[in-house]
Amino acid sequence: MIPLLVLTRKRNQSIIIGDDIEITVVEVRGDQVRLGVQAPRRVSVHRREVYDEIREANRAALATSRHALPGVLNLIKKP
Amino acid sequence: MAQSSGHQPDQLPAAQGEVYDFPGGLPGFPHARRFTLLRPPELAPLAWLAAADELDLAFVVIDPLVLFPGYQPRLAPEDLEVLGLADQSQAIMLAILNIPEDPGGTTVNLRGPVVLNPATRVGRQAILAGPDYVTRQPITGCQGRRDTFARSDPQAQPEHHHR
Repeated sequence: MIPLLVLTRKRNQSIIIGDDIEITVVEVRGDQVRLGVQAPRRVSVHRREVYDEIREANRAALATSRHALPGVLNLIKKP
Repeated sequence: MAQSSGHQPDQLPAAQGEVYDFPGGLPGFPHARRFTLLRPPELAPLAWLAAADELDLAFVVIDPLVLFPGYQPRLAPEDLEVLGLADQSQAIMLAILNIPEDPGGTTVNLRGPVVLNPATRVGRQAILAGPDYVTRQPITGCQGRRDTFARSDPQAQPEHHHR
Protein backbone atom coordinates (compact mmCIF):
# COMPACT_ATOMS: atom_id res chain seq x y z
CA MET A 1 0.00 0.00 0.00
CA ILE A 2 1.34 3.41 -0.91
CA PRO A 3 1.44 5.55 2.22
CA LEU A 4 -0.68 8.68 2.24
CA LEU A 5 1.34 11.88 2.37
CA VAL A 6 -0.59 14.44 4.38
CA LEU A 7 0.24 18.12 3.99
CA THR A 8 -1.51 21.05 5.59
CA ARG A 9 -2.15 24.05 3.36
CA LYS A 10 -3.92 27.36 3.75
CA ARG A 11 -5.92 29.12 1.11
CA ASN A 12 -3.77 30.07 -1.90
CA GLN A 13 -1.04 27.67 -0.90
CA SER A 14 -0.21 24.78 -3.17
CA ILE A 15 1.61 21.51 -3.50
CA ILE A 16 3.63 20.36 -6.47
CA ILE A 17 3.73 16.78 -7.70
CA GLY A 18 6.70 15.79 -9.81
CA ASP A 19 7.86 18.69 -11.92
CA ASP A 20 4.70 19.82 -13.55
CA ILE A 21 1.59 19.11 -11.54
CA GLU A 22 0.46 21.73 -9.09
CA ILE A 23 -2.56 21.68 -6.83
CA THR A 24 -3.65 24.93 -5.20
CA VAL A 25 -6.17 25.48 -2.45
CA VAL A 26 -8.37 28.10 -4.06
CA GLU A 27 -10.98 28.47 -1.38
CA VAL A 28 -12.04 26.89 1.88
CA ARG A 29 -15.67 27.21 2.85
CA GLY A 30 -16.88 25.17 5.78
CA ASP A 31 -15.97 21.57 5.02
CA GLN A 32 -15.73 22.20 1.31
CA VAL A 33 -12.38 22.83 -0.34
CA ARG A 34 -11.99 24.17 -3.86
CA LEU A 35 -8.86 22.90 -5.51
CA GLY A 36 -7.20 24.25 -8.60
CA VAL A 37 -5.13 21.84 -10.64
CA GLN A 38 -2.45 22.79 -13.11
CA ALA A 39 -1.09 19.89 -15.11
CA PRO A 40 0.00 19.08 -18.64
CA ARG A 41 -2.94 18.26 -20.87
CA ARG A 42 -1.86 14.65 -21.23
CA VAL A 43 -2.41 14.09 -17.52
CA SER A 44 -6.06 13.37 -16.84
CA VAL A 45 -7.63 14.83 -13.74
CA HIS A 46 -10.93 13.61 -12.38
CA ARG A 47 -12.94 13.51 -9.21
CA ARG A 48 -12.08 10.24 -7.54
CA GLU A 49 -15.59 8.87 -7.48
CA VAL A 50 -16.07 9.51 -11.19
CA TYR A 51 -12.82 7.73 -12.03
CA ASP A 52 -13.82 4.84 -9.77
CA GLU A 53 -17.15 4.55 -11.53
CA ILE A 54 -15.50 4.17 -14.92
CA ARG A 55 -13.00 1.71 -13.52
CA GLU A 56 -15.70 -0.42 -11.96
CA ALA A 57 -17.78 -0.31 -15.13
CA ASN A 58 -14.75 -1.56 -17.09
CA ARG A 59 -14.17 -4.38 -14.64
CA ALA A 60 -17.81 -5.39 -14.72
CA ALA A 61 -17.79 -5.33 -18.51
CA LEU A 62 -15.12 -8.04 -18.53
CA ALA A 63 -17.64 -10.46 -17.08
CA THR A 64 -19.69 -10.03 -20.24
CA SER A 65 -21.49 -13.23 -21.12
CA ARG A 66 -20.55 -14.49 -24.56
CA HIS A 67 -23.59 -16.78 -24.55
CA ALA A 68 -25.80 -13.74 -24.38
CA LEU A 69 -24.27 -12.07 -27.45
CA PRO A 70 -26.82 -13.44 -29.94
CA GLY A 71 -29.59 -12.28 -27.64
CA VAL A 72 -28.11 -8.79 -27.51
CA LEU A 73 -27.92 -8.68 -31.29
CA ASN A 74 -31.58 -9.60 -31.49
CA LEU A 75 -32.47 -6.77 -29.17
CA ILE A 76 -30.39 -4.26 -31.10
CA LYS A 77 -31.75 -5.25 -34.47
CA LYS A 78 -35.39 -5.27 -33.54
CA PRO A 79 -37.18 -2.64 -35.68
CA MET B 1 -29.92 11.07 -37.69
CA ALA B 2 -27.53 13.24 -35.74
CA GLN B 3 -23.91 12.16 -36.23
CA SER B 4 -21.30 13.54 -33.94
CA SER B 5 -18.41 11.60 -35.43
CA GLY B 6 -18.98 11.96 -39.17
CA HIS B 7 -19.21 8.30 -40.14
CA GLN B 8 -22.01 5.83 -40.61
CA PRO B 9 -22.78 3.65 -37.59
CA ASP B 10 -21.99 0.38 -39.32
CA GLN B 11 -18.66 1.51 -40.70
CA LEU B 12 -15.49 1.11 -38.72
CA PRO B 13 -13.24 0.34 -41.67
CA ALA B 14 -9.94 2.03 -40.86
CA ALA B 15 -9.87 0.64 -37.34
CA GLN B 16 -10.41 -3.03 -38.09
CA GLY B 17 -7.54 -5.29 -37.11
CA GLU B 18 -5.18 -2.43 -36.36
CA VAL B 19 -3.44 -1.93 -33.08
CA TYR B 20 -4.07 1.26 -31.18
CA ASP B 21 -1.81 2.70 -28.52
CA PHE B 22 -3.51 3.63 -25.29
CA PRO B 23 -0.85 5.67 -23.48
CA GLY B 24 -2.50 5.42 -20.10
CA GLY B 25 -4.16 2.06 -20.56
CA LEU B 26 -7.76 2.10 -19.38
CA PRO B 27 -9.07 3.07 -15.95
CA GLY B 28 -8.61 -0.13 -13.94
CA PHE B 29 -6.14 -1.51 -16.49
CA PRO B 30 -3.26 0.95 -16.62
CA HIS B 31 -0.83 -1.61 -18.03
CA ALA B 32 -2.92 -2.54 -21.05
CA ARG B 33 -1.37 -0.15 -23.57
CA ARG B 34 -2.32 -1.75 -26.87
CA PHE B 35 -5.74 -2.75 -28.16
CA THR B 36 -7.03 -4.17 -31.42
CA LEU B 37 -10.51 -3.60 -32.79
CA LEU B 38 -11.94 -6.84 -34.16
CA ARG B 39 -15.12 -6.86 -36.21
CA PRO B 40 -16.36 -10.35 -37.07
CA PRO B 41 -19.14 -9.75 -39.63
CA GLU B 42 -21.60 -11.99 -37.80
CA LEU B 43 -21.35 -9.74 -34.74
CA ALA B 44 -22.09 -6.41 -36.43
CA PRO B 45 -22.87 -3.84 -35.12
CA LEU B 46 -21.04 -5.25 -32.09
CA ALA B 47 -17.26 -5.56 -32.11
CA TRP B 48 -14.44 -6.60 -29.80
CA LEU B 49 -11.82 -4.29 -28.38
CA ALA B 50 -9.14 -6.76 -27.37
CA ALA B 51 -5.90 -6.13 -25.50
CA ALA B 52 -3.00 -7.04 -27.78
CA ASP B 53 -0.80 -8.31 -24.98
CA GLU B 54 -3.19 -9.92 -22.58
CA LEU B 55 -5.49 -12.88 -23.15
CA ASP B 56 -9.04 -12.55 -21.88
CA LEU B 57 -8.87 -8.78 -21.63
CA ALA B 58 -11.46 -7.85 -24.21
CA PHE B 59 -14.53 -5.69 -24.29
CA VAL B 60 -17.64 -5.87 -26.43
CA VAL B 61 -18.12 -2.45 -27.99
CA ILE B 62 -20.55 -0.67 -30.24
CA ASP B 63 -20.81 2.66 -31.96
CA PRO B 64 -23.10 4.38 -29.44
CA LEU B 65 -24.95 6.22 -32.19
CA VAL B 66 -26.44 2.91 -33.30
CA LEU B 67 -28.36 2.76 -30.04
CA PHE B 68 -28.54 6.42 -29.10
CA PRO B 69 -28.73 8.71 -32.11
CA GLY B 70 -28.88 11.73 -29.82
CA TYR B 71 -25.60 10.92 -28.08
CA GLN B 72 -23.41 13.98 -28.35
CA PRO B 73 -20.53 13.80 -25.92
CA ARG B 74 -18.06 16.63 -25.84
CA LEU B 75 -14.46 15.55 -25.48
CA ALA B 76 -12.24 17.58 -23.21
CA PRO B 77 -9.30 19.47 -24.77
CA GLU B 78 -6.84 17.16 -23.03
CA ASP B 79 -8.47 14.13 -24.63
CA LEU B 80 -8.24 15.72 -28.07
CA GLU B 81 -4.61 16.56 -27.46
CA VAL B 82 -3.58 13.07 -26.34
CA LEU B 83 -5.39 11.59 -29.31
CA GLY B 84 -3.87 14.09 -31.73
CA LEU B 85 -7.28 15.25 -32.89
CA ALA B 86 -7.99 18.68 -34.26
CA ASP B 87 -11.63 18.08 -33.48
CA GLN B 88 -13.66 15.07 -32.53
CA SER B 89 -15.40 14.67 -35.88
CA GLN B 90 -12.42 12.60 -37.03
CA ALA B 91 -12.61 10.27 -34.06
CA ILE B 92 -14.09 6.82 -33.89
CA MET B 93 -16.17 6.54 -30.79
CA LEU B 94 -17.07 3.28 -29.11
CA ALA B 95 -19.05 2.42 -26.03
CA ILE B 96 -18.28 -0.61 -23.88
CA LEU B 97 -21.15 -2.97 -23.21
CA ASN B 98 -21.82 -4.85 -20.02
CA ILE B 99 -23.77 -7.99 -20.96
CA PRO B 100 -25.18 -10.17 -18.20
CA GLU B 101 -26.59 -13.68 -18.73
CA ASP B 102 -29.96 -12.13 -19.51
CA PRO B 103 -29.26 -9.98 -22.58
CA GLY B 104 -32.18 -7.73 -21.72
CA GLY B 105 -30.11 -6.41 -18.83
CA THR B 106 -27.33 -5.18 -21.09
CA THR B 107 -26.03 -1.72 -20.33
CA VAL B 108 -23.74 0.61 -22.22
CA ASN B 109 -21.11 2.91 -20.74
CA LEU B 110 -21.89 6.32 -22.19
CA ARG B 111 -19.89 8.20 -19.62
CA GLY B 112 -16.59 6.60 -20.52
CA PRO B 113 -16.49 6.28 -24.31
CA VAL B 114 -13.44 4.75 -25.93
CA VAL B 115 -12.17 7.16 -28.55
CA LEU B 116 -9.85 6.13 -31.38
CA ASN B 117 -7.95 8.32 -33.79
CA PRO B 118 -7.29 6.22 -36.90
CA ALA B 119 -4.79 8.77 -38.19
CA THR B 120 -2.45 8.49 -35.21
CA ARG B 121 -3.46 5.01 -34.03
CA VAL B 122 -3.94 6.40 -30.56
CA GLY B 123 -6.85 5.50 -28.33
CA ARG B 124 -8.11 6.66 -24.99
CA GLN B 125 -11.06 6.12 -22.74
CA ALA B 126 -12.48 9.58 -22.19
CA ILE B 127 -14.26 10.33 -18.95
CA LEU B 128 -17.02 12.82 -19.60
CA ALA B 129 -17.51 15.61 -17.12
CA GLY B 130 -20.98 16.66 -16.13
CA PRO B 131 -24.12 14.70 -15.39
CA ASP B 132 -25.40 14.11 -18.88
CA TYR B 133 -24.41 10.48 -19.36
CA VAL B 134 -24.25 7.40 -17.19
CA THR B 135 -21.91 4.43 -17.07
CA ARG B 136 -24.73 1.90 -17.20
CA GLN B 137 -27.32 3.00 -19.73
CA PRO B 138 -29.79 0.20 -20.43
CA ILE B 139 -30.17 -0.71 -24.07
CA THR B 140 -33.76 -1.82 -23.77
CA GLY B 141 -36.38 0.76 -24.52
CA CYS B 142 -34.09 2.86 -26.67
CA GLN B 143 -34.98 1.68 -30.16
CA GLY B 144 -35.53 4.50 -32.60
CA ARG B 145 -36.08 7.33 -30.18
CA ARG B 146 -33.96 9.94 -28.50
CA ASP B 147 -33.53 9.19 -24.86
CA THR B 148 -33.31 11.56 -22.02
CA PHE B 149 -30.32 10.49 -20.01
CA ALA B 150 -30.41 10.07 -16.29
CA ARG B 151 -28.25 12.16 -14.06
CA SER B 152 -25.58 10.01 -12.53
CA ASP B 153 -24.06 12.61 -10.27
CA PRO B 154 -25.97 15.83 -9.74
CA GLN B 155 -22.95 17.37 -8.04
CA ALA B 156 -20.57 16.74 -10.91
CA GLN B 157 -21.03 20.07 -12.60
CA PRO B 158 -17.94 21.16 -14.48
CA GLU B 159 -16.59 24.28 -12.87
CA HIS B 160 -13.79 26.39 -14.23
CA HIS B 161 -11.80 24.75 -16.93
CA HIS B 162 -8.97 27.02 -17.87
CA ARG B 163 -6.56 24.37 -19.19
